Amino acid sequence: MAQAANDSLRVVVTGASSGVGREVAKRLVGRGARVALWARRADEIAALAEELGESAVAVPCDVSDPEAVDAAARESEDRIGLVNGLVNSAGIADPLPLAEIDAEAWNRTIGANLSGSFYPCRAIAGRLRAEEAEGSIVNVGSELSAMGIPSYAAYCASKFGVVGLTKALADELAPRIRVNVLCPGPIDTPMLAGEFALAPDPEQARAEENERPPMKRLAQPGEIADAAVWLLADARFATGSVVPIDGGTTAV
Amino acid sequence: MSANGDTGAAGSRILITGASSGVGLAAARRFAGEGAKVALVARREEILDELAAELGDGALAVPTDISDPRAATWAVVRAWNELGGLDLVVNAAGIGLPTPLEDLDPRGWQEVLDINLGGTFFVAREAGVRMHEDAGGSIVNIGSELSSIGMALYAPYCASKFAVVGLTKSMAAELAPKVRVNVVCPGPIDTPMMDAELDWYPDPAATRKEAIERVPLKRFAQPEEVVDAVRFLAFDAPYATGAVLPLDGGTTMT
Repeated sequence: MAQAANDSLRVVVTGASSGVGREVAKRLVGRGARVALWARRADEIAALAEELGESAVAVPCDVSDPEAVDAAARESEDRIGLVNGLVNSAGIADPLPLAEIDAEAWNRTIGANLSGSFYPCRAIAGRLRAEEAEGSIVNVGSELSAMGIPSYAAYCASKFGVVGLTKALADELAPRIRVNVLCPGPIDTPMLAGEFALAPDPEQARAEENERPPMKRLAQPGEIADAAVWLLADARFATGSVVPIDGGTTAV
Repeated sequence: MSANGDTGAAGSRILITGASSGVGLAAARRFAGEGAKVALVARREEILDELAAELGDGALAVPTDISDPRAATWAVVRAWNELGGLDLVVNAAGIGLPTPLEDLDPRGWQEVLDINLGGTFFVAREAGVRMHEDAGGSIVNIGSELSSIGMALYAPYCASKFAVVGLTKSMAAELAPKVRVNVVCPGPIDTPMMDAELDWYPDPAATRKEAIERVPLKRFAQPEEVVDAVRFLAFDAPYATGAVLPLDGGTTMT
């Protein structure tokens, strides 16, 4: 958004129903942006749109479905104007040992996290290029964009993939459209709570996860959202950047 | 307010190396303007005195050649004592002129390492240890696009800037969670150092044009943009430590 003032920010936020996406949407509206909230759960984003007022619109969308993404992009442009910002925070984590990752499980994770980042990039960047307009995209990777852990083969593959996608698009879309990727460590979100719930002792799993990062705590979604908004709107010399905000997990 | 909080630079105690020019100078002006107390470290005493006078109350000139580890350490001690502690250190001092390998004698090699790597380390070491024993804080080092790619004529500079990344990650691990240590890796910046580098080439204007053409965003950064990234890491990214933040217009992505 190169030199765009906040009131000319028109941003699609995927995964807006919870976690980081929800906090990103709140911050953007607070800065004067217009925001299209994308997520599968129509009720959740409708309620959030109501809470955020007339600057926010709810556009139910499954980002793993390319036709749904194109339709949601058209609807978003109709309702908030030409979209010049995208924060791809939709994602799922479905930890499974290798033997249990069947084709369906694999495709679900790759579809939501990797294809689900690609399709919105394609739709939004395509319109910006057609209009010769400037814009900015922030993808959300993970600490697992830079390291592997057991039971996360599909997730790691999807999140490493998001880094490759980001760099390729940054090169292809420069200088008008910036594309960067934020790589958070463990965040205290419903998604992580769902992962803990799979452990034999969820409380112990949480306690161990708290101790793992050198910062000795989980991130709050708002901290990650602050970084996403900074990269999207303020870091005007950043493109193709991989930005870890992970409490030090990938530094050691 | 500590550098791990979210209320910005106001009231913070900040030591800045390389404060006489480029990114360090821009950082001094920005943070002093936001109400921080700044300790200005650089070699040139007159320039620092003028800058301290410009920035007014709360700005302290600490003329130092940080290539000398004892002087670097002493600069931190003096700033710590006079400002009553430190919340943030910005290691912006650095040198690097293009030099063909055959002209690179031990002295030329050592000078770059002593300032860019040794100076960064001994300032960060003294400040980091003190912050760790005290109320915590934040250190932001300045790396470079040449912290991750090589460039002809820049062997010692590349070596020093790659090393600053290793230093950052190691210190981040050792000083967590009380002290955060991160590094910004800028691409080409419009500074006096850049002018001096371009002047080395037979046609500086043509080289400048080529250098801009090499950047996917098709421009140089302004020093203030790098300061903005420093500010982000110090005040708005309390979960970032050991992080390498590239701000290079896309030069390192391929």
